[in-house]
Amino acid sequence: MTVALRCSDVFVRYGGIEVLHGVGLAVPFGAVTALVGPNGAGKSTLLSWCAGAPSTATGAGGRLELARDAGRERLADATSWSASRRAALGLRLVRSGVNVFQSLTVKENLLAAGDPGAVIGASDSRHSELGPGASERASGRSVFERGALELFPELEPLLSQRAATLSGGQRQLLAIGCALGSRWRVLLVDEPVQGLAPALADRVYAALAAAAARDRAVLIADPVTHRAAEAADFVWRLERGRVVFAGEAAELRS
Amino acid sequence: MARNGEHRERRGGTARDRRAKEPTGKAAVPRANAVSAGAGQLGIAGLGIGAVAGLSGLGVIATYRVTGVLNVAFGAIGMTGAFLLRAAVREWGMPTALAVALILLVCAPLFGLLIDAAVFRPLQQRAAGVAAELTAGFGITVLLVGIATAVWGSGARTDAPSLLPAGSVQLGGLTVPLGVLVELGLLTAVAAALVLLARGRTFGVAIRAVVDDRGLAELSGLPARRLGRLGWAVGCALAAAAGMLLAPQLRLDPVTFTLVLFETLGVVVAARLVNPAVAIGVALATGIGQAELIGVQLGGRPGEVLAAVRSNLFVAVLLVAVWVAPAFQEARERVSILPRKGTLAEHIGGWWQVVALGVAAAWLRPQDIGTAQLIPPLAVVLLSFRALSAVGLISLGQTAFVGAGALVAAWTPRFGLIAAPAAGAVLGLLFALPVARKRPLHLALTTLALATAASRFMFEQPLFTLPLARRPGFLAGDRGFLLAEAVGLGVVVLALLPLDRGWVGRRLAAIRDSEPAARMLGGDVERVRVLVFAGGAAVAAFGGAWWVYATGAFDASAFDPLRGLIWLAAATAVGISSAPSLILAAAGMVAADAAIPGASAIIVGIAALTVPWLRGEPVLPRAAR
Repeated sequence: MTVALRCSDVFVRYGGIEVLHGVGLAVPFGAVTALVGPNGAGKSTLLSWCAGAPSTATGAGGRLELARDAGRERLADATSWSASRRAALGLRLVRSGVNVFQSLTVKENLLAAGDPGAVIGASDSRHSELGPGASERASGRSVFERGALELFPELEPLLSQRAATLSGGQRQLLAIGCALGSRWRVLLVDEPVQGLAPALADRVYAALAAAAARDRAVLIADPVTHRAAEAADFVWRLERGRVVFAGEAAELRS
Repeated sequence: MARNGEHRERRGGTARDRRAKEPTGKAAVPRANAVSAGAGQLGIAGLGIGAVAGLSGLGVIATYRVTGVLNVAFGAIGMTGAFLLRAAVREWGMPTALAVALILLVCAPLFGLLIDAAVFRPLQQRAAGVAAELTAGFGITVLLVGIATAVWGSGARTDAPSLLPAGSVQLGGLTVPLGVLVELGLLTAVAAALVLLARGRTFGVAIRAVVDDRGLAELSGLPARRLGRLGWAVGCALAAAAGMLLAPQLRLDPVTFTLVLFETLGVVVAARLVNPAVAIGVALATGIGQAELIGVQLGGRPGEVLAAVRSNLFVAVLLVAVWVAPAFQEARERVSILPRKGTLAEHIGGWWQVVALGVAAAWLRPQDIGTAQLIPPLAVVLLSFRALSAVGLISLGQTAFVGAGALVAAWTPRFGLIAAPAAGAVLGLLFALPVARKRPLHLALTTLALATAASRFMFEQPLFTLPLARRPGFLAGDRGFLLAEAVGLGVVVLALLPLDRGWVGRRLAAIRDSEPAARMLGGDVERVRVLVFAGGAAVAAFGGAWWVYATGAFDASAFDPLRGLIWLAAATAVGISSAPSLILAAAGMVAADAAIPGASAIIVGIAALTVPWLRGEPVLPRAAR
């Protein structure tokens, strides 16, 4: 398995409080990796740091490496890259909480997520960083063609509805659907089944696992260890800003 | 904002305003002819000025829609464009067309890219709030005005090259100047281009997504940064175009021309910062209304009021718009940032410096006491921002309350120190109540409108002004007055202490941090915000009372809206939550102005753009900068 994302020595401070103390983890292609740990362990902070999301942190550092495509062993140093450049390479973050464009309709959200490169032309250099491999692009399209609506038909009747008027669960579905429908390579999902009924939660996990089965990597953060361990291939456990376990999910389950 | 030949009769206007808005001579003749042939003809003349205001408004909207930043520097950018064109054509001998092309297509867009990259983009990466963005915008304004003054002087120029063709055509019995047709055509073309872009299936959705949540858009791979750059480039080019079109019709000087352009902000507010069609409609209607008022002649006091309204119709529109326009949909999610609280050592250090300053005042030379007397009033005014920040509010128009306090204190010398804050509180209540439910940006613009209207319709009018302000008898001596000021400042500092302490402080912090959460706790957010706003207005008015007693006369120029913006920028730069920093900032500003008149504005402008980087404000992870 080749590594899709690797971070090392990550620290993040809020005021005088350091919430991540030199954390490192690796996320392989073709698998679902789970980041588990109690509330306040630093899971969301680590995901946001990896994606380069705007933050109120007063200090942060570390090293981030991203694979340019699944076939290459060598990783690109993305530490100094902006959030949009990381996204252009296929790194996506589904945040917990507000994770869709509220003033847009469901359809527009899917459209915005579906092919961001189209809005500025196919010749856009940043988006060409998605990789030279035609198979990569093809796989992106195939997921998109299956589409979020096929994965979550519950969204079909809501297409013309503004995202702000959706329930929490519907919004979560839309966010996951948008992410899966976009051209991504590494997907970071913070609490993917938050607010979802158990049956729907199972479908979301199944969709993430199916997506990761391609040349893609999925990293989920979930405070419920057993649930995440059931869905994941590998598990990293964070406690108080430090990694206390790293291994196969089966090992943790046993 | 008014054209040449409209016979501006601003009896109450400042000398500077009158100078800047007087007809410039040669270009005035056809306009004067145009406006003398009845209401229809007047309306035609007004269309031109409305078109320029609309163009300026479209620039602000273009930037706001894709960046979420209200570009308050557009007036200064327009002024700079006008000065550059004048210099290129009159001083460097460049052909007008070439100069216009260079400014519109190269200089202005490059400047937009520069301020995006150097100022606003880093602010957004730091998840900065409205106050920081507005302060940065005013910092740019102050810097551009300062640079223009340093390079071209503060005197008014009357030789700005005209970009519009001479001559006219007959349409439906009306003589329509070709220039007006060109301006309207330009406005229509720009508006159509913006609307087409925004409505495009892919581009339009991308724009709306970026406007909705810039952070999420970037995480989703949407070209947020590219759109932002485009927004700044187009916004600055349109501001420069408005400035270049307007310059030949007014006397061109850095400060007044900037303010005249800035007054068109009302059309943008009426459009809720996003709707080009409404902005154009309001701009054209205001231009026509202003021109039509020329045909109305009244004598006596009503005539003075009419003249003031006519000269400041865009200000009146701004004032009405902030109350009437529905609440703005803020462009993106704001990350709430609590004001930075210094360490105990920093607090003690700050207060020691204030005490040292007070002790040093005992050895002041008699000739310096007059200058020193301005420090406590300014410190009180700066502290009023601290009151507002306790609930996450910002005021762009504290000059309205400071000036009102000064007026009341001048009118009631015996009770001025009590009557002024009372009047300030009442005024604050009256103006905050209608907009209490609206977003902080809306409230901030309301205060700006109030300050501009108060300046134009009150402070500058002879009806409201008094030449001299007598101090109460017990404050007659200069050193005694300075001591009394220090006591008054101490009272304000003590009165503001509960804002970040104890039960009151916790409730206010809850509102500042999350209004919905504060409501869940049972707090009446609107009532608290209105009360705090009124409290801040009372403190500002209290400062105004001391100010007018210190200077001995009511000077309307001391309460110009631009000054209020400088005060806000200064307070934000040094740290709005730190009382000793605000007091020391006041001392520094007064000292700088005493040494070199106007120096404080430049220093504040630079500080507003640089100090946030030097202080420990929230930053992105190093990796994502």
